[in-house]
Amino acid sequence: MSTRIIEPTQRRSSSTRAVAGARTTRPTVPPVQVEVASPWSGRQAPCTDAEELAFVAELEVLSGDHDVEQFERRDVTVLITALRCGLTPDELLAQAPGVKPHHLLAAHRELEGRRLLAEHAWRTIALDPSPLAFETFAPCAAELLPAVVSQLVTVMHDTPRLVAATEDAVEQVTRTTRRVQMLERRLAESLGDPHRSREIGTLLYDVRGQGAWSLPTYLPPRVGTLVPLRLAALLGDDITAVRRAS
Amino acid sequence: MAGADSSMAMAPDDFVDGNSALFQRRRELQRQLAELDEEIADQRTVNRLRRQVEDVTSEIVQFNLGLVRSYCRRFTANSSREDSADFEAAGLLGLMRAIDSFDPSQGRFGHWAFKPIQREVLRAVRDADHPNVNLGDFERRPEILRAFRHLQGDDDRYTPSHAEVAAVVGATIDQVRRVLNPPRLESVDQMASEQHDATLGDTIESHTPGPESVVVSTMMLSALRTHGLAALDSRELFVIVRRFGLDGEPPEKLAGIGETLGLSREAVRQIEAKAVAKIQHPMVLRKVQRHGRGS
Repeated sequence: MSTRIIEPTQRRSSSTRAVAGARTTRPTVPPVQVEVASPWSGRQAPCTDAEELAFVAELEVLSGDHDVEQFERRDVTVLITALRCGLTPDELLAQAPGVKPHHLLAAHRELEGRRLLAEHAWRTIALDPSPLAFETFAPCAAELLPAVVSQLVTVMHDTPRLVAATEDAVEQVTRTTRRVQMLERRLAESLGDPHRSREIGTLLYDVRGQGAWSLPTYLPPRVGTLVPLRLAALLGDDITAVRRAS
Repeated sequence: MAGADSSMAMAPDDFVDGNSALFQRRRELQRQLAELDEEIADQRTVNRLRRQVEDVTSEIVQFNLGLVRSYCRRFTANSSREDSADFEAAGLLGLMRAIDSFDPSQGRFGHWAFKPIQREVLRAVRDADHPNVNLGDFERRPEILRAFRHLQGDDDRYTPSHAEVAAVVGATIDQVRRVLNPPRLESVDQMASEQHDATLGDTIESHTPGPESVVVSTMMLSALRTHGLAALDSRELFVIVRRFGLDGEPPEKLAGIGETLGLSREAVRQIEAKAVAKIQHPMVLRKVQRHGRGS
């Protein structure tokens, strides 16, 4: 869900309601576009990296003495959608009183661990683009950069081509990641302006996969920037299964 | 450990005694394992007992290999397959099932294992030779064919009706029909016409939506998002979005959403019903349709 339109004609007077069925000559007012990137009510612009750090720190405080080990898939969804919506833990708990902070913290730690592993795998390939290193680390790196790794797989048995293709890929990944970081910096600067921050937020994350975070050459540097496809890969979800919850 | 064909080489009484001893050992080990409190017991002890159970099970399998082979020969006499390895593998599967479910009070293991081994081997034979006949029909197939030939007698031109065969065998007419006229398996790559210009697959109607349908449904979905969801309050929006995974994350069950919101499953169901009713309101639907048509 990326856009939500609120029409100024939602509330009608009794006289307007009386002629609702009749043809009206009132000019059509273009709907106001309001970006909605998550199921939560909030600022609808994703967390910046500093905010995500603060979010986690607050979760640690709220978790108290609880064991931070167990979590369920829905805790991951709650966490990631809250980060995409720019909620603070307090705002989140006010809307979802059933959520357990220590479960969210456990989910964050697990995801960050897996993300770090995949990032490390990619950096190892980048440093040593040999067929052996590629064969060893490619499956793990593919969880974050599936398209890039898939392209390299086609040349993995030809060392010179693999080296050249890896260098290209590393350059593209660095360039994209730097560009996206620039957008994120703009988001951090525009947090005082809700409209602008929502606009930049949509450029970063779009549920239809058209945001910068969904770019195939983007290496997500933190949990909050994981898009559904990468999240599913990290968690081992079946991304092809289209099933309706019963 | 007994040899591979030990059951065939030894006297029947030795075979029975050998099996009894092995099963007794296995039961004893399983009893010890069950009595161990896994939280308190040393993990090495638990692992050792588990390994011992596996070892004894493996000994039982080795000891009864001859039994499996003899049953396999019996059930696969009419099979077209020359390589019996698949059937023996299926027989071993049956043997494992029999070992797990064996109840010594019900008699000898050889008798107990007959049915599971038969079931698995026949399933393998059916998969190899008659994949289009279901297992129940396949088990009755020899009987039905015998009755058919018996009714036919010496007159090859006479074809007994399905009802006649069913009456002789005591099967249903449908079952006799399924056995005598099994559905043929066709390949979609097979040529559909004599001119060899189209395969069978080309003649099958595709249920994949065409590009037009995809465009229309995308527009309708976009319209629903913009108009339909705008009519919902925040909690209804949350329930609908999470229930159908409209935010790109996997859809959730009512109970899961309830736990997140601190509500009961029933309360979430009611919120969902109310939200769906709002989306289905004629005013909203009209907007959705208008938007969906691109006007």
